Amino acid sequence: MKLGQKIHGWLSDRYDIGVVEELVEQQAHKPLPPHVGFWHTFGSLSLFLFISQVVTGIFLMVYYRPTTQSAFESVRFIVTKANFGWLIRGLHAWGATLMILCVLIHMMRTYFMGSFKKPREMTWVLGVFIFGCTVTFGFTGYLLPWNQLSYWATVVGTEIAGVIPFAGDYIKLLMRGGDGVTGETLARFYVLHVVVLPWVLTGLITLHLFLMRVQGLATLERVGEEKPITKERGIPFFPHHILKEGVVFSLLVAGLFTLIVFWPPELGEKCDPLTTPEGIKPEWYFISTYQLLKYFPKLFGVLVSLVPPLLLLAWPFLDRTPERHPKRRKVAVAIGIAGLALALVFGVIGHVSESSMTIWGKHYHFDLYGLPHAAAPPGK
Amino acid sequence: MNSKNIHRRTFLDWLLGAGLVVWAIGFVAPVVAYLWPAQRRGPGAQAVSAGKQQDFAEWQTKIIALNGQPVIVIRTPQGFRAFSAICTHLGCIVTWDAARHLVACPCHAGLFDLNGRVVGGPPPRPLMEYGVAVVNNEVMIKSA
Amino acid sequence: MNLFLPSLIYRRASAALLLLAAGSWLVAAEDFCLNCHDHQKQREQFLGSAHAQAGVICRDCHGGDAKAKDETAHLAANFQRPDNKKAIAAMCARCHSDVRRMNPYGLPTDQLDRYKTSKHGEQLFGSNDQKVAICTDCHGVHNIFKVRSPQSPTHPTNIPQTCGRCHSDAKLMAGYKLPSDVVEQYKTSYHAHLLLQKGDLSAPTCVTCHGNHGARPPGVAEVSQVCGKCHVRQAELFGKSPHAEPAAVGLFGGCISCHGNHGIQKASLNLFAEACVKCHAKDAKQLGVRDQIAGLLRQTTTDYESATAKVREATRRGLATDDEQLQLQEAHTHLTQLEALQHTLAIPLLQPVAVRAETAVKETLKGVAWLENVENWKRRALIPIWAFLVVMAGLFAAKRRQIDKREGK
Repeated sequence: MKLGQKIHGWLSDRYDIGVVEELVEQQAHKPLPPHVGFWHTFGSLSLFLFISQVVTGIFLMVYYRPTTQSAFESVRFIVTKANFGWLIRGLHAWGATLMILCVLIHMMRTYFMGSFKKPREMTWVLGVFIFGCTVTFGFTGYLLPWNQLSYWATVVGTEIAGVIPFAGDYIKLLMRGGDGVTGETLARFYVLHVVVLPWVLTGLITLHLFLMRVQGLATLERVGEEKPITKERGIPFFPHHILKEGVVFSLLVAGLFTLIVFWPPELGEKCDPLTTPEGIKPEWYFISTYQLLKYFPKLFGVLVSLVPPLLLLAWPFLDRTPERHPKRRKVAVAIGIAGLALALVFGVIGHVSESSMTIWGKHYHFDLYGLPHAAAPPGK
Repeated sequence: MNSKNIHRRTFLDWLLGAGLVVWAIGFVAPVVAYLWPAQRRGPGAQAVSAGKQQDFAEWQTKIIALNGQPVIVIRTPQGFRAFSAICTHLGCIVTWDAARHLVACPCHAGLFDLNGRVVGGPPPRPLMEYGVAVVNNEVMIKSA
Repeated sequence: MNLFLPSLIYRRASAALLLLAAGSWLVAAEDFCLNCHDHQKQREQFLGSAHAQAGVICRDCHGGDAKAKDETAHLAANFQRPDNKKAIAAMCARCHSDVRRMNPYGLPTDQLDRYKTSKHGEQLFGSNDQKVAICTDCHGVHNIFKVRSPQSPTHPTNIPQTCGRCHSDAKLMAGYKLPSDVVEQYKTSYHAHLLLQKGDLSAPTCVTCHGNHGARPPGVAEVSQVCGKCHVRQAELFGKSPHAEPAAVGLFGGCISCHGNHGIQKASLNLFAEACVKCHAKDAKQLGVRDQIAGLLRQTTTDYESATAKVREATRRGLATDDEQLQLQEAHTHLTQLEALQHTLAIPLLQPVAVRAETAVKETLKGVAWLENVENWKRRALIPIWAFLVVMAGLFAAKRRQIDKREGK
C-alpha cells in the first residue's frame, strides 16, 4: 500500500491525476439500464476475443513465415514443435470463429432490443463496419496456413470479385497481386491481416466504445421518452455487471479450450496449385452468401449478395419507429427472424451442397444447388 | 452478525483473488514455454548436425534425419559428402556398400558413386546432394 | 555463278540460319545436279537432314558426274537410283559400314551385318522378299534425322508408330502369320505409359527388347536376359529360383509367362492368382508355396498401406509425425525389397525381410498411438480446466449475489 501511495504522490505532483481518477470513477460506476443482462455481455466478449486474437496473433507471428516456401512448414512447426504452439494456434483459429459469432449475437441483441435507434445510429453503423472488418480478418487469415483448403477457398473467393463490371478484373488483380493466387497474394493478405486490419479495427472499436460510453446504453423505452438512469434504478458497471461478465467469460474460455482439444484446427495438406480438391467451401460465415451466389448469374449474384450488408448499414435510417421493446415491434422482429432464417437455410444448403449423405438408409448426392439426387452408395 | 458478514466477504474476495492469480499464471506459463526455443533453430532448420567429426572414421557413413528426410553422410578421404538417402528409383532408403565404396540400394541393386551419379541399376536420376560444412568440429548438413 | 552470289550474301547476312544456309549453299553450290534438275521436294527434305548437316550431297549417295554434259557420261560415273531393297542396303552401307568414314561421327558400322541376322534381313537376303523393312523404311529417305532428334521416326517416342506402319497392317502381317495387334498391346502397357505419358526416354520401346537393326523376337531362353537388361535385380533373384533352370533350357518363358509381353502391366498381387495356375493348376504343394508368398506380401502391403494412411491422417491433423514418416520409409524399403525377393520363391529369404517390414510398421503405429495418447492427455487436462473455470464462474456469481444482497436488491 505504501508503495502505491508513493507512486500516486509522485504522479499527482506532476500531473493533474484527479481528472483521470474522476473519469475512471465515473465510468466504472456508471449505472447501466436495469434490463442489462447476459445478452449484453456479448459486446465485451467480442472485445475480449479481439484482444485475445491480437495477443495470440503476435505470438504466432514469432514463428510464422509468410512465404510460399515456408508458410505451411512454419505452421507445422508451430503446431508440432513449438511448446504449446497447438494451443496458441487453437486459440487464434477458434477465437476467430467465436469472435465472429459473438459479434453476430451482439448485433442481433442490438437489433431486437432496438438499441440502434436514435440517437445511437452511428454506433450501429460503426458496428456494421466492425463486423465487416472482422469477416475480412477471417478471409485474409484463412489463407495464411497455405494449405489446400485455404488456398483454394482464396482462389474462389477472389474470383468472385472479378465479376464486378469494369473494375472487377482490376480489383481481383489488386487483391491477388497478380493473375493467380501466389506468394504475392500471401504477402498482401499477411500485411492486411497483421498490420492494416488490426489498426483499422482498433480505431473502429475505440470510436464504437467511445460513443457507447458517452451516450450510455439504450433502455427499452420509446425513443424520446427514456427516463434517466439513476443510481437506485440502474446497475453499476463495476462491480455488478463486470462480475456477470466474469461468469460468461469463464464459461467462454472453458468452451474455447474444449473446442481446441476436441476439434483442433487441422494442418491440412500443403497447397498444390495444380490439383483442385473437390467441393471447396468457404468458412461458415461466408457459406450462406456463397450459396446465394450460385443461384444467380454472376454479376446479378454479386449485386444480390451486396443487399444484406447495405441493408444492415441503412437499417437505423429505414426503421425510424419510436418503439424499442421487441414486443411492440412485431414487424421488425419478424423481418429480423426471417433474415436469420434465410441465412440459416442458405447456410445449411451450402453446407450439404456438393457432398454425399446417407439419410434413412438411402444415399443421396447433393448437387451444386443443394438439390438431392439418389446416388450409388459410397465405396462402389 | 456484522463481523460474520465481513469475514465471509474477505474469504470470497481472497478466493477470487487467488483464482485470478492462478488464471494469470496459467496464461503466462504456456506463453513463456511457447517463446522458449523448442530446438536450436526455428522452423525449416538451415542445418542439422550429423555428429562430431571424430565420430566418423574414414569411409564411415551415417544416416541422419533432416527435416524428416533421411540423409546419408559419408566421410571420404577428401572430406564429407551428404546425399539424400532416398533412392530415386522407388524411394527405398539406400545403404553403404563398404567393399565397393558405393551407395547401394537394397531393393533393386541401384548403385551411386561418390558424386551421387547413377553407376548401376534402374535409378533414373542421381541422388540429391546436400552441402556439408564442418563447424567447430561439428559436421553440419545444410538443408536444400 | 548466278546461284553462288545470293547464297554467299545470304550466308553472311544471317548467323541464325547458318545451318540451313550452309546446307543450301552446299547443295546448291557443290551439287550441280540441282542446277539442271528440279527436285524441289527432295531438296527441301534433304536440307534439314542429318546428312545435309554433315555435308553429304546428292552425288555421295547417287553418284554421277554433274559436270558431264551428256547422259551417258552421267551414267558412266556410277549414277544410281536403287530400285530394290538390297541395293538400298548396299547404298547406305557404302558409308555406314566404312569404319574410317564413321569414326569422326562416333557411329557404329555393323548395322548391315546386324541387319542380315534379323528376320527382316533373313527374308530379304534369303528369299529376296521386297516387302520387309530396309534402312529407309525406318530412317526415312532424304529426310534422315539423328535418332535423338524428336522428328526422327527412330526417336524412342516414335518407334511404336514406325514399327506399327508394317506390324499393325493386318493384311501384310497375315502373310507372315504374325499378329498385327502387338503395337496396340504395347500402347496399353506400363512401358508405353512411361514412354508416352511420362516422357521417360529410357522406357523400353519395341527395339529395346527386339533389337533394332538385328530385330528378331527373343527366344524363350533369352527372355530373362532381355528383361534383365533393365530389371537387373529381379533377373538376378529369378536366377536363384527353381524356375531358373526350366527357363534356361526353354521349357517355359520366364518373365513373360507371368508378366506377359507386349501389353505388360505394373505387377500386382493379382498375378499370383492369375499366373501360377497356368502351369501349376493341379499342384497343391506348389500352390501352397504360392499362397504362403502371396500371403506374406499381401499382409505386409496391407499393413504398410494402413500405417501410411494413419500417418497421413495424423500429419494432416497437425501431429508431429517426422519420426513416423522415417519409420514408414524404412518399412517401404523392406516392402520393396520383398517385392523383388519373391522372384526367388524362397520363403526363408522372404521371411526375415517381411519381419523387418512388419517391425517398422509396428514402430510406426506405436509412434502414432503415442501421439494419439498425447491428444488424449490434452482431453484429460480439460477436466481440471473446466473445474477451475466453473469454480471461477461460481465465485463471480457468488460475489454478485453477495453485493446485491448487501444492497438489498
